[in-house]
Amino acid sequence: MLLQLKNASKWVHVGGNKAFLLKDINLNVFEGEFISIMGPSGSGKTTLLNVLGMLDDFNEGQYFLNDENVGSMKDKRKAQIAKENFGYVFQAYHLIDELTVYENIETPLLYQKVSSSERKALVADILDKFNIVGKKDLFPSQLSGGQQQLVGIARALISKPKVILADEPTGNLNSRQGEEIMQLFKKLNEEEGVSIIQVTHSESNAAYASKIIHLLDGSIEKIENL
Amino acid sequence: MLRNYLKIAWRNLIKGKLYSFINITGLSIGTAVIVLLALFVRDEKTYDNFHLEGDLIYRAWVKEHYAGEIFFNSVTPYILGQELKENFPDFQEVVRYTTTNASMKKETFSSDELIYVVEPSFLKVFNFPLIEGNINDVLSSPLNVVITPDISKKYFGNENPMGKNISMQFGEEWKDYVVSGIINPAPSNSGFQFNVLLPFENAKLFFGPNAQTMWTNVSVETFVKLKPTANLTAINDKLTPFIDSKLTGIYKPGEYIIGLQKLSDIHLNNEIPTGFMPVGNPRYPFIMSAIALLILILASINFTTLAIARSINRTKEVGIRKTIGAQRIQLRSQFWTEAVLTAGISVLIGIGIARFVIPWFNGLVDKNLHFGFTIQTIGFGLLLVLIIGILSGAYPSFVLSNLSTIKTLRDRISSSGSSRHNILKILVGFQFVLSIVLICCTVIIQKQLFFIQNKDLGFNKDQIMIIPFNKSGVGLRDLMEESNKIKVPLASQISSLTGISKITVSNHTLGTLGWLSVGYTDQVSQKFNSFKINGVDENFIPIHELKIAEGRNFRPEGESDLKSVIINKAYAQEYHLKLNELLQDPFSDYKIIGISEDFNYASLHQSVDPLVLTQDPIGMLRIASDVSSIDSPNPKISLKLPSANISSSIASIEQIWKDLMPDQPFGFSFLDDNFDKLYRSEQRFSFIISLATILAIFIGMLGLFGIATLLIAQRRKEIGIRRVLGADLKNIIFQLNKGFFTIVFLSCIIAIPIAWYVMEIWLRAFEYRTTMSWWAFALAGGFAIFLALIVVSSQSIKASLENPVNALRTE
Ligand SMILES: Nc1ncnc2c1ncn2[C@@H]1O[C@H](COP(=O)(O)OP(=O)(O)O)[C@@H](O)[C@H]1O
Ligand SMILES: [Mg+2]
Repeated sequence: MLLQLKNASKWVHVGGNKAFLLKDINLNVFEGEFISIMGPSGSGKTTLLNVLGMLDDFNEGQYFLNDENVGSMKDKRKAQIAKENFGYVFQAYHLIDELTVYENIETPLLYQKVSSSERKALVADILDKFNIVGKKDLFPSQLSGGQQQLVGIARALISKPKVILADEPTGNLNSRQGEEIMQLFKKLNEEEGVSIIQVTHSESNAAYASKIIHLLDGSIEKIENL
Repeated sequence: MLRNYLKIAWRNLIKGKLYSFINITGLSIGTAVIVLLALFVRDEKTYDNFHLEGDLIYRAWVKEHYAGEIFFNSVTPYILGQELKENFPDFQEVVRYTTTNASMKKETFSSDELIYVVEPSFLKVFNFPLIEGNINDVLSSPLNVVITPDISKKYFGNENPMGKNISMQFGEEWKDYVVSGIINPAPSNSGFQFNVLLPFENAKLFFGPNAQTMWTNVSVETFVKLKPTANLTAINDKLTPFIDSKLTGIYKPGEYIIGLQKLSDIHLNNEIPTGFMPVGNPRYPFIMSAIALLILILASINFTTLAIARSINRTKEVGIRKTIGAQRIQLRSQFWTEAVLTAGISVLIGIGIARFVIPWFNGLVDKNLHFGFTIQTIGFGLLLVLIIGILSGAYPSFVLSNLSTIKTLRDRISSSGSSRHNILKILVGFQFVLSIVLICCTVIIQKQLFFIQNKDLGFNKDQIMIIPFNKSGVGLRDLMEESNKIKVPLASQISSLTGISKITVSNHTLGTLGWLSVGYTDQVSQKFNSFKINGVDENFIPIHELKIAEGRNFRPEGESDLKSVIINKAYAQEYHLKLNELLQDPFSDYKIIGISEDFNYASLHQSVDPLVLTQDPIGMLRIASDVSSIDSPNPKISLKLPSANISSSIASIEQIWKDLMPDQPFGFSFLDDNFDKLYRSEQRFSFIISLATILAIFIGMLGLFGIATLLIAQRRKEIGIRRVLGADLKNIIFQLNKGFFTIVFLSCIIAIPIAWYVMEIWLRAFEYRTTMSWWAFALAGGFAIFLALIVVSSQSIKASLENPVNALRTE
């Protein structure tokens, strides 16, 4: 199994009381799965995604990644594991404004000590695959939202992660642009076996997945298999 | 409208607490420095500017060409004043004065005083109001004396001294004087720092008949006060032929020139030699002003850079204000109000700080400055507020108000944002250049001071105690006889009580400014020569561990060696003399028995002059045609204290001294302290520069801290992204620090040559100087980089430790 969350809870203290952000979550993700997470605002979708992506801690429960207990890892190893396994895609794209498209995509490789010739090859590859070679020297502000999100996904994929974690990737896009992103996800999932976990508000986008997890007040309300 | 501006400005001050704090701290320190240094500069620049019709007062100088040398002096012949008075109707007053040290005695109490011997017109030409006595007759009788309240207190206590007697000693003789007046002491910014005024007739007590009539002998300062109608060029045109006619047969025309120097010019013109009045270093007011300006600029740059850094966040506010109809001028006024308000608060605090530290500053610069609230100073304060406000408000008000509305509302760092970043870099870089220059200067100055204090002077100055013979009223010869007589019992008692085996008596000790200078005219070349002498005994050389290069030391019980001298190598070289030869004419009674290595008996500003050590100083002085010394040649005892029990040794010596010579006051100093005093002006200068450096660095670093905080906060999102993309802490900190370090590094490259040049000039004032090693500059640059590292890293580490999830949360 790729990811396994067992009885995971996360809370914050609000005026002496525990306010649960996540409550007793049990979740299994298999390699090559495409999962959508849905739920009303504030139900803990982002929190769950961050916990899965090891960007955030939780207070109780266990988390296994490739059957290895994340809780017992040292920070350095955690950072290493996260780098190897996850690619993140954000609603607000979160590209670095001062860097060109090319440089934005290249950045994760810099942090993985990939040699410069290899970096060139990898970035060229992905630019080509995403059809944005012509845009490589532009800055994010010179791109449309859909194009920016494409760059965001390209950046997430550049280090060949096993899982893409996408938090409302189409939230800032119009429906046509959203559709394109979903097609891309589907293709990546089917052709390259990349696991995808996405948060979305749109029923139609959610339907691209094989499984929809419904969250309510930090708990899993139901799991819907498509 | 103004109220509204003020209200918003105040709110912004409160809202950006950190930035307000940085701005106000920097600007108030800047103000305090400006106020103090302005007072210093004003004091230096206003020397003797308070005399009524002071611009009519001039001091005469003499330039004499004699035997191929030029003698330039602001002390003039005695006779000059008289001649000017009788022959130049253009002068409404002529006043001569001289100063001398004399002992003053009232009943059993006696002490040494500096006496001003002045013509009665002194009180008319210069504005020194009398407290008691009549200006027309206080100095009319030769036996009158006018004193300041301090002297009155010292000798008469609470008694009224008027009409009472006080005695003074000139030469061997005590004379009684009657106190005829009490005078206010001169303000601190006057060259005439008198305590006691004596009528000019008394000068005859110490100037012989020759000195009173010869044109070749200078003894008094001569001041003239022109008539308002007089024309200076006309007077000068008349002076030259007049002097030439007086000196026909002695000097060729043009070889003896008298000139006039404006009173206000005396204190800061060091091209005319110092007479009796202290001449300041004209560079100091300049340097002080430069420092003050520099610190103010640093603080104003802080204001500007912080405003720019904040403006990147405030562009949106500007955009909104514009869309709802604010005009450019209104926006400008808003920013300027903020700047002026900040400046106003800072100037108030700065003046408070200045008033608080003035006593300490006075001690530092050896002045008596005070800051009172007068129209002038209040005006100065307001001017400061305006200057600082306009200077620091200029950038934000112009650039921000000119931004186009569309651009400002686009929530991205636009192209104008990056030009702002460039200006920011230049300004921060400029601050670093200034700071690094100052750090370099501090390091080099310290290095030079260390160098002169630790240079091998050619003798050992440690633990040498000096006790002067102060008994007043005895001539040099008698004092020397007495000291020689007392030496043997004194030495034996000191030896038995403390184990100190040797004491020496000499006219001069090491490390003083001016030893006896003996001038004579060489018979063969007809040239005027001079050399230094010191009367010593056989223990002088061993006690100071001086090295004899050739020959021997004096023998004990000096009779046989009375006509023997030891010269230094400089002397041997100058006069081409060898061991066992006789000195040059007219000193050929004296035979050279030893040649010492050169040792730095004066300060390291001066090279080592030719020197004769003799056991017969009185004999040699008698032969000389011209004798002068800056320091008193009265005999002094020097001895080397053992390293243990110093205080008990001193106590024993004091007891012995008092037992043997109840009428000789006991006082002592240490040779190494005296040496330190030679460099007091440098130490003071170094202290001021160090202090300025610390303040400059502090202000600069405060600013850097503010900018780092702002810029890094603006990059919070980017840091979050990079963290999520796998950057570790090292990466992030490097990324954040990189930009700052490029700036600091470039600043070093610019600053070091500047510092090098400045220090090159400063070091020229020393005859012996340290090298400007590369490491001094590396140290300074390294220090700046290190400080910047700490300041910037404090923020970048904090930012890199933040959980990226927080930074990336989308609202
Ligand atoms: N670190 C935190 N401290 C306090 N409250 C938090 C924190 N993180 C998230 N929350 C709160 O938890 C709830 C769930 O947040 P989130 O996971 O972002 O919801 P969703 O993405 O489903 O809209 C929200 O009410 C949010 O305000
Ligand atoms: Mg969310």
